Amino acid sequence: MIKLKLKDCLDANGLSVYRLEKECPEVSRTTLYKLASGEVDGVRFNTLNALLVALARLTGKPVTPNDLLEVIEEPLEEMDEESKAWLDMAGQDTMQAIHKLEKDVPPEELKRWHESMKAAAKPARYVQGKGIVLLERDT
Amino acid sequence: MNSVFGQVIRVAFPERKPKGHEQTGERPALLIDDPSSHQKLESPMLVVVPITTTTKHQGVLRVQLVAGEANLSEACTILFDHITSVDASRVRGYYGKLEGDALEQSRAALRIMTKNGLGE
Repeated sequence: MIKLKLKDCLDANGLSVYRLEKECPEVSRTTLYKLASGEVDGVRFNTLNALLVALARLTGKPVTPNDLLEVIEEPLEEMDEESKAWLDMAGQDTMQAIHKLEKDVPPEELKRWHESMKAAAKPARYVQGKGIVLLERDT
Repeated sequence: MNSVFGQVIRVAFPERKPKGHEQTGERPALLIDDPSSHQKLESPMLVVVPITTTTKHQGVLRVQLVAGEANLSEACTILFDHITSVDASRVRGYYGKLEGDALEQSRAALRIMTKNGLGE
């Protein structure tokens, strides 16, 4: 999800929506107040551009889309207990079959393989809407 | 073929744990699909193929990988005869993406497993 943080940007620079309105005639007063309150599902590129130009003029420093937009990670939906139990049963059967396939592998070799493979993996998790996302090593 | 196909991830597979059995449920797996990315599901799950240490069982449904492929540190085998789905919260890590022959062999193995299911 993408959040517009116009109000945060104005507050951080000691500006009001009224002041922005005076500097940004391309965008209507109603739209500016809606954008500042977050009551919008999206923002047009030309509106975003007008905001960036006006804010740069008001603050005297470059303002980028990163200053106005924030990507918010949506939490992973919790799987209901019944679905989880069914999936886990399928996974357990799979693992049982794999253990049978690996039964002739010497335990020391199996242990070494698992340790080596564990070390080779980069920490990651699944994020809904993004897929597999790498994590920092220390998190 | 979708873009997630070919990613090699680390998955904590669920296990029945017999007494004294060493914990080996966490292992690499080939990601085949993320159904919730193209269809709203009640709960996110991933379709994966487990990867095993043993390389002695061969066949078109057993794709062998040499150490180094997709950043895997050991030789291993993708078991296309054990395609399964897991709760997406079971993902623990990422290795890399299959390329070249290994990717093509994996596609061929998946086609064998799903051809009739797709009505081809």
